[in-house]
Amino acid sequence: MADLLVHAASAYVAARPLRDHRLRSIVYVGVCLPDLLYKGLLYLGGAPNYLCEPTHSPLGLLPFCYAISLFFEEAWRKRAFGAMLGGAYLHLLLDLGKNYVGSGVILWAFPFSMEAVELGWYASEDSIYLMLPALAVIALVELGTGRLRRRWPLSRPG
Amino acid sequence: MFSNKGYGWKLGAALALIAALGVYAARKGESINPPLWRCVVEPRRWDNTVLWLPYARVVSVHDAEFEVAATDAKIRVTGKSPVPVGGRLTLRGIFRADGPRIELIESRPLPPDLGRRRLLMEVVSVLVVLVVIANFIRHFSIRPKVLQVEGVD
Repeated sequence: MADLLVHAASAYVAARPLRDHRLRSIVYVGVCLPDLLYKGLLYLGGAPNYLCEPTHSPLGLLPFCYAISLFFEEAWRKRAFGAMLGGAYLHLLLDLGKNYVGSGVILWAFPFSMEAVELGWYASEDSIYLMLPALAVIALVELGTGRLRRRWPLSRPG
Repeated sequence: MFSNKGYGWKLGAALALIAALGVYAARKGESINPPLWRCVVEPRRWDNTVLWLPYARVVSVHDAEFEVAATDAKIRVTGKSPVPVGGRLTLRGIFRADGPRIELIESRPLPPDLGRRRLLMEVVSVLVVLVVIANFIRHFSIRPKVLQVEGVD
């Protein structure tokens, strides 16, 4: 959970163009979901580290998102599942760039393989340097979408 | 798949799958990156296992090796220390039962202000979560009674 601002900024870039603000709000929840589940199981549930690993694997996230989507009203479940999974996958993509001295961070093929992969682009403790740029990105996207909407306003029936 | 038909079964199956995946991961993962203290206690069992120490403090430095204290045990590491005595690092290496020791593969120094950095990032992250949840609640009302009624076949 150490860098959710950066994750939130990535979700903001991806989801801000969506016209439906409800769908956007689910993407934002989705991008926080892997860390919320991981830390929740680890600290609140007292689970061992590896028990929490499915929360950071593409296939492992499917049942989590599905179970959560079932708590939405019926008409919204499919969209909620897609938006939440999209946000969660965005989280994994960003985490994939972390550097854990080659030990890997994402169990990309779990449960078929326990092989963890990483790109090693940045150390997790250096995420702090990405916080201000993340805020700048959020501000830029907000400004950009505001301008675009003024230029091409959403046509409303009637 | 997303309809109300068999709602309880679907939710139960999803939760059972989540639990099964967790237990499976815990069992498989136990032998992948065991805690250092377990390797030190049973060196023969964990001989040649690749270990990752997320956090270790350098206790002493010699010509071709150094000693580190992780959270749960101390161990010698063959290789060159990237930090002086008292410095902190994260490292990956192969556990060897003779010694026991770790043969260094890769290491990275950790900043001295790691604790403060983590604290700041955790506080900001908690704030982000609160904003995200507040934004979600603004758009979706949580009505357990409606859910229960709709959930019945």
